[in-house]
Amino acid sequence: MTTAGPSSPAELVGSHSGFRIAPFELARPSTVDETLALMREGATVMGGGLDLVDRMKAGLSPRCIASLSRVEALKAVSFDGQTLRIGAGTTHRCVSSDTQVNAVFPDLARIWSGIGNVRIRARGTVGGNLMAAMPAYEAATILAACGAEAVFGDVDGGARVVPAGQAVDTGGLLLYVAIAEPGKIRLSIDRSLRDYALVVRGDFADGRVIVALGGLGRNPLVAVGDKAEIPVLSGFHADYLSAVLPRLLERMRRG
Amino acid sequence: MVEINCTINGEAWSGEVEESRVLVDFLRREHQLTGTRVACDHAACGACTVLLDGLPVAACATLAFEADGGAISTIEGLTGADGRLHPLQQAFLDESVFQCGFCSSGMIMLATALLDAKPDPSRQDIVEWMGANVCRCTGYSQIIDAIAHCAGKQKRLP
Repeated sequence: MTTAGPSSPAELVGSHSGFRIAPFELARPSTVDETLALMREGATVMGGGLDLVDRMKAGLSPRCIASLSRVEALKAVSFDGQTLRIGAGTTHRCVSSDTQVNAVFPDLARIWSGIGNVRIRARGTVGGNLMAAMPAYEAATILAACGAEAVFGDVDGGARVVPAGQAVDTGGLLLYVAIAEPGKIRLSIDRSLRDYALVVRGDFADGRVIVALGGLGRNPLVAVGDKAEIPVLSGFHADYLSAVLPRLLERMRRG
Repeated sequence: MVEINCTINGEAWSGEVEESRVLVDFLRREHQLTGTRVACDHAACGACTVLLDGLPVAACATLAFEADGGAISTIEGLTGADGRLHPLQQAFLDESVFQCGFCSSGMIMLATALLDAKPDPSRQDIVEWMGANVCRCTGYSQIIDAIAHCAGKQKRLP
């Protein structure tokens, strides 16, 4: 046991962060190409940093961190009349307050405004939430129910496109998520079992339904069909889904 | 070390910080701004809430260099030069919101951001925002009341 001596008079609980983060080299790229070049050299990218800082406090020690805060290209939100693209570096707050998102996909804006809490939404990003692969994080489940795709820049050049609900092990730099024809999707969400399970239901204009069940592992479970049914892992989740899915449908119909 | 420029409670500051320094240690250890607390150390409890460019952030989970080019506001910056308390600080006193006081700085900073974003918040708005911060003493109702009364008073000002 060590005792705080006169030279360190304030080592009390609450007087400082109790964790030591190992030193690292810092890079602050301003373009996607610069970021990819740093990743080729082994850099770890950091969005809002909420998750990464926590992991570093727990002992993760990346040699080099590339902060994405200056990569403006990753913060763009656009809609070309067909596809809504949300940059990986967009904060949750910016997603839910974005005028285009609100205009073309109001359900998404509303649901995104319930991610985490106001403090998390101010710094946390779409990409960070998705790539952290934490079961209780919501982005992958919400985006899976939209049938969204995640578009990655490959460190060796080129791009890779994967379903947003299976993005975590793709590798490369997540550039943006793309939602096709957002105007034809209604979304509803149930968070009543926060941290244990989360279900998002996407009702498409052509009658398709996508149900995404999150909170169970690195990726959400996703079922697609006319009457999507997820083969669930336990009686608990089966009961939860059978109780909540009709309620979500009802809520969606009421608008 | 990394060179940064920022303002802290309105005063410009330029200097070097360690890359791995979290914002709360930067404020408490290098600037003796000890009003900002650390409790959970995992960005969950809100005791370390400060404003970065007007938005509430967890100073325990934000690396200090990310404040480069930004404006940091802490509880110390709320009190006027004449010692007059900020209306929210006064409201917290008037409503007896303090018990152990450990969460208060974070609560008040979050509430200032709330009233900046929504000067006339509904009770539901207040509950939704303040749900980001944890208080283990008061049971929250006094906190919510203080913010509601403060907002109401501000509204009645000419």
